[in-house]
Amino acid sequence: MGRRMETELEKLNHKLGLPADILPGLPVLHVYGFCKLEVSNFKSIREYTGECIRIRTNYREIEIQGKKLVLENFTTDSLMVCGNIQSIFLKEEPI
Amino acid sequence: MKRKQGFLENLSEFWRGGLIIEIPEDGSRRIMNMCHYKGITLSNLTVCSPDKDRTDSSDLVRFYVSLPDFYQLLPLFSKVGVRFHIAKKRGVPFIIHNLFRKKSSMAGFFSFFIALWLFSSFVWDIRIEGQEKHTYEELSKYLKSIEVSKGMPVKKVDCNELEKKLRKKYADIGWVSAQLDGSVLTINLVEVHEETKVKEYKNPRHLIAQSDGKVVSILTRHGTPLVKKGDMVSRGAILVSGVVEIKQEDMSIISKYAVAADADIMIERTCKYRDSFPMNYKKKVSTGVKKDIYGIGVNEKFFYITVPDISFHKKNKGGYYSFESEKELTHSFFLPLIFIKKEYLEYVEKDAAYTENEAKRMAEDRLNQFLEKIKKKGVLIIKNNVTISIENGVCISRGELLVHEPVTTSKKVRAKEWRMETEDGNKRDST
Repeated sequence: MGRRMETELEKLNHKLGLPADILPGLPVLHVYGFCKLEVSNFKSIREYTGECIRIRTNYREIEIQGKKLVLENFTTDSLMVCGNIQSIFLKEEPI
Repeated sequence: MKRKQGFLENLSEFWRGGLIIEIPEDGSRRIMNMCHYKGITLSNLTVCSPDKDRTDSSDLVRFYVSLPDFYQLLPLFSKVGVRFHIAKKRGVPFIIHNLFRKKSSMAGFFSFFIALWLFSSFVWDIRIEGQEKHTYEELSKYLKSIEVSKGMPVKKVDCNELEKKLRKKYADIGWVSAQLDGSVLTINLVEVHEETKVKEYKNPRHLIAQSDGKVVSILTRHGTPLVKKGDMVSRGAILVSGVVEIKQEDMSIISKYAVAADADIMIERTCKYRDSFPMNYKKKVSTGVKKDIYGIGVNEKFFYITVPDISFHKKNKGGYYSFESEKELTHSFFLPLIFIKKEYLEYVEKDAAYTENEAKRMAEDRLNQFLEKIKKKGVLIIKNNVTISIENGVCISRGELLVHEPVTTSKKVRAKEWRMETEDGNKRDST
């Protein structure tokens, strides 16, 4: 999905006043305190070490930095990151 | 950090089985993404440093995968070219696999089921419940005669047939139910008190009085009644004749024929009752000495582990009681093996005497037993004039009972009583 299409859909969604999560393939992040993060609608894993996890989604890349990071559950729909989460970056996907 | 799981989830995982796999970090990303597309669930992914004894220096990714998912994962490993190491196996499939690796465990496992099947395919105990008049021994003897006994195959037991046979054999068993519960055959029955039946004779017979008394009721079905209500009769008198006369209008007899007289007749009579027992008796007093003897019973044959030494009662001129108890393995799954415990209690006989109250209570019990016994024969107790007294160290019950007794005695009708001579002197039979 192109970046222009993404913007147009977001604009339309905003105008209609619909909830944001109905957009197709939009990643959903749930953060539980500082030690647990659940990511739904992801595409793949770009990097996985104990200190950094990079997750590719339909629109952007999510980078999680921390210590002793563990992928507690890794399924088709979602993944659960546990450990000492220090930062979460939502990066523009490199072309 | 371990993912928290519910009890059922853990149990399900344990049942399915699972493995902890270690793969090099280099190929882990590709494997993870392939698992994501294939729908393979991985859990507890951690990055860990390799063991000291391992030569490769790169970090490892360790994760848990269920056994069904592991089989889907295998082609992915070969496709990516990643060498994996199984760190741990857990779950039921691996326990069973380990169990079957040893021949002796496998033999034990199968022999357990064979023994279970073998023992449960025979009847090892027959329980009879609800009987009062018929003893267990009597019923067991009959069951043996119809080839229903301990040790017979369960397949041969036909409960419906058994119920029919029991009902046919014992007319006083009103209801019977046979059921096979495991290796135990349980027979439940209800006895009914059968009313005293007047013997039905096919041959011509008179009904006669078995004692002196007064006829209080008479209802004739067959035969000619010779007495009526209120008549006094003596022992041996014919009450209902087995000869039926056919008369003309002028009361002259045309013919006679003989029948088996049948009637309900009650005769009122007094019967004497006397019973006595001495007030002094030998009382068995336990000395407190007890000996237990243990044994094993295998299909009605008993072997005692300890030798029964019951000689102690001889020197004390006493005796012993014995109590037996059998211990079975389970309630419904009854094996032919039983454990027996016999308990012997030493006692000595000492002179004792009943108190007046004790003696009277005992005499009343004995009288009630007698009354119950005659009631079963259909006798009605109208008046009870029995008195209990103690005379010269003897408890005596004496008196008279006024009873209504059914007539059950009969005697044969002789041919000359009903055969009539014809005018030409020949005898003829009438039908």
